[in-house]
Amino acid sequence: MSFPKRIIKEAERIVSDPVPGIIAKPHEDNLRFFDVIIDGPEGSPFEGGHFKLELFLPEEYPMMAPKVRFLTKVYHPNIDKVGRICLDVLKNNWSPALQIRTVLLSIQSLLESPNPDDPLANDVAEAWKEDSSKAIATAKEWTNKYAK
Amino acid sequence: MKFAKLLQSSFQEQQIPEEWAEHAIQYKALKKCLSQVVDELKLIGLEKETLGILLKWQDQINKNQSPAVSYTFEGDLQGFAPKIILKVDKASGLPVSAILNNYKIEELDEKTVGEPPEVIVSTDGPEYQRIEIKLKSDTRFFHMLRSEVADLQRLQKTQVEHFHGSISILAQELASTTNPYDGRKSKLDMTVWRSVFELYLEASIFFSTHERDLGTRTAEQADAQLTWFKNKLNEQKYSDQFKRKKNLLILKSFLDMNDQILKCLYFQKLNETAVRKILKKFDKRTALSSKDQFDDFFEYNGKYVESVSRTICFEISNELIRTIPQIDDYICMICSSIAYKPIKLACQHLFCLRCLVKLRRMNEDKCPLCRQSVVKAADARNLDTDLMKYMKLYFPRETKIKQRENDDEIMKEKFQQNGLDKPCCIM
Ligand SMILES: [Zn+2]
Ligand SMILES: [Zn+2]
Repeated sequence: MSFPKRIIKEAERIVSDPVPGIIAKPHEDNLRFFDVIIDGPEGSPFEGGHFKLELFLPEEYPMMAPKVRFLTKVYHPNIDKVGRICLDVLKNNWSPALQIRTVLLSIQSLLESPNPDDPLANDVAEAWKEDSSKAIATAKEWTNKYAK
Repeated sequence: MKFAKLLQSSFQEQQIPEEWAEHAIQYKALKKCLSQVVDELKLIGLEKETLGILLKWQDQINKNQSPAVSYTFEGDLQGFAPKIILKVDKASGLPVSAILNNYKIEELDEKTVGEPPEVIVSTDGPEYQRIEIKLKSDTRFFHMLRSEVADLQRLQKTQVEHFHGSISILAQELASTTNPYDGRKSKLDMTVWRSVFELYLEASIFFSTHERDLGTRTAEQADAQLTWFKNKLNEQKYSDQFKRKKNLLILKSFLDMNDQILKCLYFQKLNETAVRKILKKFDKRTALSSKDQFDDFFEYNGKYVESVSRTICFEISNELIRTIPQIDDYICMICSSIAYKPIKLACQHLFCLRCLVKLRRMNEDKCPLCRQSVVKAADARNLDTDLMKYMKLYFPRETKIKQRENDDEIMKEKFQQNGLDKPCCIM
């Protein structure tokens, strides 16, 4: 199978020069699939967790954004039950000049600063707004339970 | 092995040039001078053991007050003098007054050849007495160390200037032997040099741009990276590919220069270690604490190695490597290939024609880099023809490949439109 130069270059670089706290491994037989692990940022309720994600580059990439999904359960207002992520750069704000690494960095910082005003998981967002310390405690609990 | 000896053998091992070695830290002489400091302290009853007791006492009893013993540097860089300050409790006559024996100080006149240490006694509030002692030998020691360090810094400056000169000369020569207007040979050699420099940048010998280990390399790391680079050069047989002999010579000078820079790093590192060692020895043999004082007073932060590699590295990439246009400066941010044929949008951002066509097909009006609405307004006038000629001249291989890729893609799209890509339709 042959892949566009852009995809080959990105895959090479993300392996040889990884972003701290993020591992992204392309599938050997298909460079459009990546197994990703993001470490929970320090000081966040996700600290100490290792979160698995899958990333897929659609045929139209980079004209269209990569498809990314959490595989590890996360208690987060912008991530729903099946791991879909509410993040502007994955949707309307995507630009072909962005890259896999910038997307993963954005996801890492989403873990650092949840945004309950732009929710995907409504129940979590409500809980977060009502009693944030309780929500943070739950997020920590989930991190311990599912992400270690 | 004694450090002085180790230093000597390291110089030999690294083949440090004679004219550099002359400027090395005179570790032996400093050590001799340090012995005199030890003697002088002994004369006034402040040898290591006594001072040690005092310091211990200070830690235990005097925790919250100003220190009972301190060692400070006074004056400016040229005329500075270190001094020991003792604080004595008048009422209790605590250890200090007992140990700093007046009798001993008077005796100094007769015992030493030089002048005795200067001792000034004054009162420090109602309860304390302040005793200042200025030794002769430690002044000598630190002035010596200071001038050694300054000498090294001067040498370093010369070294950097020398490298700067070599880089400029290499850049000029390279420009004259790889000018694509000069014909086929120069043009081919230009592409060989491009590959050499790509490899060189990948090796990031003296400075790493990788997120994992961003920053300057130690001499040992740089050594390993340089070896890697040389091995790769041999593997790829780049030196055999040059059509013009002059380029082979330039490559040789370039490699020599890198060896010299590495040597310079080793040399500076050895000297830095020597300074650290002698200061540590000073503290150990006298119980005075000089190291922090020295660092602060002389703004000596041991960043020699870092500043040399940073400066040189910057000059190599900016002056020398840029002589050969690098593909990275002409990449389309969307497809990661050369931005050929180059379309310059109204916002001045550059993309290849193919990617722009695709953007338009997606009905996208925003520039991928700055998000201004400029894509739909672009037309044939946005093709940068000068740049296009330049790309063809300087990147003959890359533009050809890109053109072929584009043609293939357009062909494939046509087939797909006509539904001819299905296997059953192959005739
Ligand atoms: Zn392009
Ligand atoms: Zn733009």
